[in-house]
Amino acid sequence: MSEARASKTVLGPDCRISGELTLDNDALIMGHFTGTLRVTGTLELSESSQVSGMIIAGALRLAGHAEADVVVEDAVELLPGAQLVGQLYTSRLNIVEGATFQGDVCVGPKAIQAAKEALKQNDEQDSFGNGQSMTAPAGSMGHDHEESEEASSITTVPGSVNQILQRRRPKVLSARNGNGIG
Amino acid sequence: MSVRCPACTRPLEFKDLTLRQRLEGDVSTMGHVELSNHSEMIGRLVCGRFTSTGRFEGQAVVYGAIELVGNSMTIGELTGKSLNIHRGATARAKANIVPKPILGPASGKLRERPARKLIPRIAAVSPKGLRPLA
Repeated sequence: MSEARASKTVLGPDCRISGELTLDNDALIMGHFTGTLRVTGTLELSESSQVSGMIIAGALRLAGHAEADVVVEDAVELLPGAQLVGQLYTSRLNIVEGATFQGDVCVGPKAIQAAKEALKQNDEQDSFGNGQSMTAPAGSMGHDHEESEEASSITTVPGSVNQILQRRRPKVLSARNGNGIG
Repeated sequence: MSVRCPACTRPLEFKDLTLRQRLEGDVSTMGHVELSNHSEMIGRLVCGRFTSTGRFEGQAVVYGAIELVGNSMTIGELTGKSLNIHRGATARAKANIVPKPILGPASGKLRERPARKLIPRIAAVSPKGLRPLA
């Protein structure tokens, strides 16, 4: 385990952050966050936390409120009292009794590929100026569909999704600039 | 002992069910429904607890826990009290997990089920016969 992983970033309950936040270790968030949150390790959202936007993490333990699209490589755990509204892509999911979840789940060995494709679709929609929510492509999770070779090359969510997000940023910025000029 | 639904007064079935083959249709029980390995169910399911190691496609309204075990495949809608999807299981579904159980067919997914026959309560016996309450 690297030294970075041994530490944990803690954002207190009086914290209000909006924008993009990337953390290369574990994190505990107790405050409010709006935007894109990327955590390489385990992300814990305490009971007092409120997150909206997008969450990309290695693992997620949620006890607070979140209204976000979630892409998690390993496991998502919703603890009693947790509330999550949005789309969820992960390989393992545990919603215990007392937690609330409303949205679409895309769980399985190919969930990360589905998330990747959904983000790609989102990129295309963004470039055309149609900002719609992330949707799982039909049949992308099915056993009866042929497995693409790209799926096996994806090892970690943050890495793969980061690449997409990095590719997406210039497109979005250029689209915005184009709209602003036009 | 017979138990009736507090919302619709329909008698509740508490039979446990294990599916080992293919089933295309609806299942309604307050017991535990289990889809064994290599089994397949397509349709609507209402039950007390649901465990799947097979393939399920449709709408599931579960009054307790939903457990999708390794190599299972689930497509459709899931409503329940808790949801546990193990590693290796695949699920692509619209999920609604709420702590409070959903009571009554009006809040469930079998809304289009034929309405039960209402038996009018008997108030009094008149000389002309039984007269229902107004």
